[in-house]
Amino acid sequence: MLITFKLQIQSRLILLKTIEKLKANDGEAQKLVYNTYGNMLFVIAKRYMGDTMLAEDMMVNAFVSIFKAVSKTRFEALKPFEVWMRRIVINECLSELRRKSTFKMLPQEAGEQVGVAPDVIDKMGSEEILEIVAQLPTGYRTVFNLFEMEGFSHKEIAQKLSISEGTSKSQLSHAKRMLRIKITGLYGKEARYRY
Amino acid sequence: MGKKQDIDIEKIKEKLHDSALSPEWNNEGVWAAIETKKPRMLPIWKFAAAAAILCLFSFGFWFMLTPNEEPILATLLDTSVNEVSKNSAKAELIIIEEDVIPNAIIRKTVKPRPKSIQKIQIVLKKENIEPSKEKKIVEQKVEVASATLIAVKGEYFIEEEEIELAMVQKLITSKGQKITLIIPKEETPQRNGILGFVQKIGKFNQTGEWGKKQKGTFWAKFVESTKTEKL
Repeated sequence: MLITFKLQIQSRLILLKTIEKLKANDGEAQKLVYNTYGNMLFVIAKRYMGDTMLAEDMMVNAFVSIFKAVSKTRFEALKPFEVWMRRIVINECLSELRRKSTFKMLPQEAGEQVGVAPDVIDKMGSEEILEIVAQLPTGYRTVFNLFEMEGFSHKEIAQKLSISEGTSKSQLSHAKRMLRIKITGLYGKEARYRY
Repeated sequence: MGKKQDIDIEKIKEKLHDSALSPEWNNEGVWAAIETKKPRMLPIWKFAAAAAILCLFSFGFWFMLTPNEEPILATLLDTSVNEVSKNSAKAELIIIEEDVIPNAIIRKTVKPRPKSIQKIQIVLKKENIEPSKEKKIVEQKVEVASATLIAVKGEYFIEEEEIELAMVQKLITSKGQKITLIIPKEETPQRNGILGFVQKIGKFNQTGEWGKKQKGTFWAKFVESTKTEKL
């Protein structure tokens, strides 16, 4: 337990030194940062873009921006560096989505207001859930990500996506509903849960 | 009911925040694309090395293009002008252009020269100076540390060489300056080489008067030394 803790501390120190090297455009440091954070950032890009190839494109743009902007920023710890990188990836995705999508409301599907049984979700794999989120329409998916995953308010989301607060709330509601429908569609009526 | 219902959404969020989540994606392909797009910054030493190589090439190129001329002429030009202007002698810039230099009469020690050469020399012209009417003001005897003799045999340019044995006598008059080249008399006259040639010239031109340039005769033009010392 103690050894694991020591190793974690050591690897964090190495990463902190690596971040400093990034400022000098060090190729090895860039590769190390990519290998360490690439997967985590790809998950974010995939959640926003839905499509794997689009997410990969966003990763390229985001990392180019990261390597370019890192020299102008100072990091005392790893956490702010991670948060900063996440924000860059999200901004890249949002600018691409704004360019492609108008975030219009889709027609509401009629259906029961039912939830998904918690044990069903527990049994599902993370990759499976990511795929379901990725299949949501762009507007639903974007608002769901911003509100539920990043913790932005509807007011902030409205500003970011140039939509009204009401639209943001509706999109979120529809996103949740569609998620439930998709999961229960996969796992049958047994997955439905009435609160 | 809304809050209760969102328990499933909380579970979904937990799953999406799972750090072990690793969907399939083209990790290496993305890195390759990043490498081609990322801004490149060459280390400073590479810039320095490139600049040094460029400098070397430029210098080499310049060195190859510049003709290998002896710097003595330029030195002579300055000193001669000064000497002459002080003493109100007439100085003339003469540009001599030799088209062909016969190989047979170029000394072996002379460095390879171009077929056509252009030389600028200063020649002291002693015009209309009659020895009987000369008003001697100063007689100066100077030791020539390195006098330059431009000797001409017939019409051919023979050699330009420094001699350290000759003496120069300056006779400064109101009309101008007369310079006499005094060739030292050696006990054993040299027949060959520049010293021998200088002695021959001395035989013909002991007084320093310039004879007319005639084919087949020796004559010489003396250009003052760059370094003189008063005796």
